[in-house]
Formats: sequence, structure tokens, C-alpha cells
Amino acid sequence: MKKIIALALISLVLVGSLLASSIVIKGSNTVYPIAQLWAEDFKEMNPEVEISIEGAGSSTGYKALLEGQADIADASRWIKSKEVVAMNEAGKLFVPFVVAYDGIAVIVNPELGLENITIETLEKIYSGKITSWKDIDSSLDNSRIVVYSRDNASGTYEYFTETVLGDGKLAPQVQMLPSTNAIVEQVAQNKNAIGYIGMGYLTDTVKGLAVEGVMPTVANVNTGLYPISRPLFMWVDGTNGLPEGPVMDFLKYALTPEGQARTLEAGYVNAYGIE
Amino acid sequence: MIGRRKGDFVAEGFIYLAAILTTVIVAGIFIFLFKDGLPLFGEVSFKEFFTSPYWYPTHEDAEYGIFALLIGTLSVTGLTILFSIPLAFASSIFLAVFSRKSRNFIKSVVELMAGLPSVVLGAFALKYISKWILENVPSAWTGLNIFNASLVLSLLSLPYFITLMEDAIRAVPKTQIEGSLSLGVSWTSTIFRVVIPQAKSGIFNAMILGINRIIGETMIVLMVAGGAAMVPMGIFDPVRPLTATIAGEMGETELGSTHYFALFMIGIILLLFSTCFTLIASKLKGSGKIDKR
Repeated sequence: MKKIIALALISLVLVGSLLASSIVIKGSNTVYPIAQLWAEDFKEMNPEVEISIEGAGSSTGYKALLEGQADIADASRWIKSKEVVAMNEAGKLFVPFVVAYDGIAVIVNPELGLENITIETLEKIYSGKITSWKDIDSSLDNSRIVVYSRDNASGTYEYFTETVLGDGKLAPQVQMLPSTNAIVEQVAQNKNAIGYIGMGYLTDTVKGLAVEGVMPTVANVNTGLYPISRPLFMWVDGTNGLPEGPVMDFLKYALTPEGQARTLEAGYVNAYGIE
Repeated sequence: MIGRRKGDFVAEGFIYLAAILTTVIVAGIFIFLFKDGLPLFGEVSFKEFFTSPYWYPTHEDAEYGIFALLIGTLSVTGLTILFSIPLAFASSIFLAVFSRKSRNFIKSVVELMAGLPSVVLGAFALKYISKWILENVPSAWTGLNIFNASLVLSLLSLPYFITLMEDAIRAVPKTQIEGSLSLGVSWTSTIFRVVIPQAKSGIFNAMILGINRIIGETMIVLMVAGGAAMVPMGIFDPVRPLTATIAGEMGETELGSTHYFALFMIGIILLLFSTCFTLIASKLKGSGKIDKR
């Protein structure tokens, strides 16, 4: 008799856990901080919903959506043609939502003494054509430029290299680190380092350079003046129409004025009105 | 077979099944790796893969040369061995031969070290060891390099080496030491001329298993070795070992692409290294004889 009761209780718990609603969000490391803020707000409003967020890179988000491993894919880059082909072959249809804008800040150590940089110079640095700070600005030391980048699973990497290098290749000496925080840490420690990060990760341990004379600020991204800025997306699987329930509620919240105001807190720029 | 009951046969059957299952799984891993790695050579030449230092798998004009990555793995492994084996050797002799009050304490510390999660050590190294290197080594242009990774890997692999080596040394009967000392031989000669030669195969075994572990370590080298796919010129240059490459790039590749095959091929290489070392280790273990005269 006891065994039957125990079995019944266990199955009840299992069924209960299946019924609890959850939202799984995977994808961009750049979108991660805003997704987190929205998740916190959403959890306050809907405590029965479990939200899990992972930020291993935009490519992982698209892959997860394709394999049905995530409800929402965060992306800091548009879907690639290879991914569209895979989507079609699986008979699915993904729907994108622009949820924010992001400026990519080029960072150097505050002690370096550089204020401004051009896209052309960035291209030369990242392709290895220039290796010394003195070649950029004769007032700087003749020290080796220590170049940092995200690794190639990252949407930030894809966007930056497309914008700055075009078809060119990254120099082998460029150090590819697996996360934005690692880049910030290294640039803060090393006087001769340069790197790029989503604007949202700027801290006062590093200095954001003006690119082509334009500083990476919210206003400059909003007005399109800052040359290295891009939209951030959240994609859902719309094969059978837009998903109902907590997933759409979450997205809708993100696009409301209160939700959009959170993007500024995370250091990004709002896509829609926030008054 | 005296006294064998039906229950024994059933139990034996289960155990046999478990052993077969394990073998099947390992064989399966080999098969899947080869299946997903060998197609690479239909699209990339042997020569390019093994000798080209240019690794640009995601580019339009892709290049798949792992030479720089290979040197990365070898350099980090080599420096780690240099750091940790002498230290482990000395520690294991101390722990095995000299039982003093400090022994228990040291053993506990060693066991604690064995439990340190590699990602935690990596985070520590990123922040503190990196900074220390930048400030104190003038020729180091980056804090994330071979030296940094090797330092942390040594911390990780020391307990492994120490435990195994100590076991090997302890396996030599105490009577050998007593006999040698009673003949008037000094402690130093006793240890290095009597005990160690008899523990030799166990010690080699320990070294090889530890090296296996170091080659396969992923998290530390991903975070701390520098991530630059270049051939290093010194120990303070950054590298990207093979394991870090797989870890950093596998998430993004699409199934069946050349990049995918290339990563699996890297996996095969690592597996081959590991298998070779394990086979050598088992050969050595078998040939070790303890003189019990």
C-alpha cells in the first residue's frame, strides 16, 4: 500500500513539473544582459514561469531554435543563409523581433592616450598590417599592439569583422577570447591592448574610443551616427503561428515602454518608445 | 565449479553485460569520431591540415591548417610537465618515505587541490595571474599565454601525479629501505638507488596518465592560454591548443560542413594521442617487477 502511495506521489510531482510553464532562451552573449533584466521583471509579474537564459553566442541560439531546444533565440546578428536553408529543410519558420540596438565599442586601456580611431586603422590593426602603436599616432610608445577579439561563435565577432575587415582575415596574433568580460579584463590590465565589446559592457576600467569622431553613446546609436551599431533580435519559432502563452507575453513585455527602458539600463539603446 | 547456484550465474551475466556495454560505448565513440572526421580529407589535403599554420574555418576562403594549434597543445603540455613532474616527484617521495606529523596535512591539501574545479582556477588566473605576468615579466606582451596556462595546469595536475607516484613508491616494501639503511647506505642513496628503481614502472605509469590528463584539459586553456592561432616564439606568447579550438568552435558549426569534419578530425588526433599514451602506460605497468627477495 505504501509503495502505491509513494509511486502516486512521485508521478504527481513529475506531472506537476511538466505542467509548470517555462521559457528557454538561448543565444547571443550580447543580448544576455537585457534578457536577464526582462526575465527578472517577468518573473515578478508571473512567478509560476521558469525562465532559463544562456548566452553562448548567436549561432548557438539559431541552432537551439532549429533543434527545438529553445523557445527564444537571442541574436546579435541576422540569420545566415546556411541557417535559413536548415530552417527550410526542417520545414520551420522563424520570426524575428528587433528588441534593441547595440553599439560596438572599441576599447583601449585608459592609460594609452588614444581618443579616436578610424575604421581604416581598425582594419589595419585587426588584419595585422600595423603592429605598433607608434604607427597609428607618433605620440604613442613604440609598443606592440595587443589585439583582442571574441571567438567565432559570437555574433559580435561576425558583425565586427564584417564591418571592419570585409573579406579580410584576422591576423593569427589576434587573441580570441570566449567572453566579453575576459576582453574587458585584459584591456583593463594591459596598457597596449585593444578590443571590441558590446556597448552594454563598457565599464570605467576601460576607455571607449570615438570611431570616426563619434563616441559610442545612446544618442549616437539612436540617430545612426555611430558607425558600428546594429539591431539586436529575439527570434521565435512561428511555424504554427506565433507561440501562445508565456513566450509571447515575455516578448510583448520586452517591447513595452517599461521593458524598453531596461535596455538603457543594460547599456544598449531602445528600439521603441520609452516615455 | 563447486557450489555455484543459479543466482551466481545471473549475477555473472549482469556483470558480463556491463563490461560488454562499456566496451561497446568506447568502440562506438571511436567509430563516430572516425565517421565524422575522416570525410575531411575528401575536401582538405593531408598536407594542408597538418602543416599549415593558418586556421580560418569560418571564412569565405576557408583554411584548415592545425599546425599552430598542434604546437599550442604541445607547448602548453611540455611546459606543464616541466613545472609539475619534478615537484610531484619530490613531493611523492616525501609523502611515501617520510612519515612525519605534517604528512596528513599535506595529503589533505593535495586532495583538496584535486577537487578544485578548473573553471574556478581559470577565472582566478584570468584576473590575478595574468596581471602578475604583465607587471613582472617585461618581455610578456599579454597576460594570457603558455606560461599562465601551464602554471594553472600544473596546479591541476600536481595532485594527480603525486597520488599516483606516491602509490608506486609505497608499493616498494619497507624492508628494502630497512635493509639498505642497516647496511650503512645513506638515505639519499637508499631512495634514489634502491627504492626508486623498483618503483620506476609505476612512476612512468603515473607520468603518462597525468600527461594524458593535461593534453585533454579544455577549460583552463580555453580561458587562459591566449586564444591566438599562431606558432609561439616564446613561453610568454599566446596559443590556442587543440582542445580550446574544439570547445570554442563546436557550438557554432553546422553538421556536415568541412569545419565540422575538421573539428572531429582534431578530436581524433587528441584521441589518438591519448590512446597511444594509455597503451604505453599499460605496457610499462605490466613489465614492472618488485624485487621481494
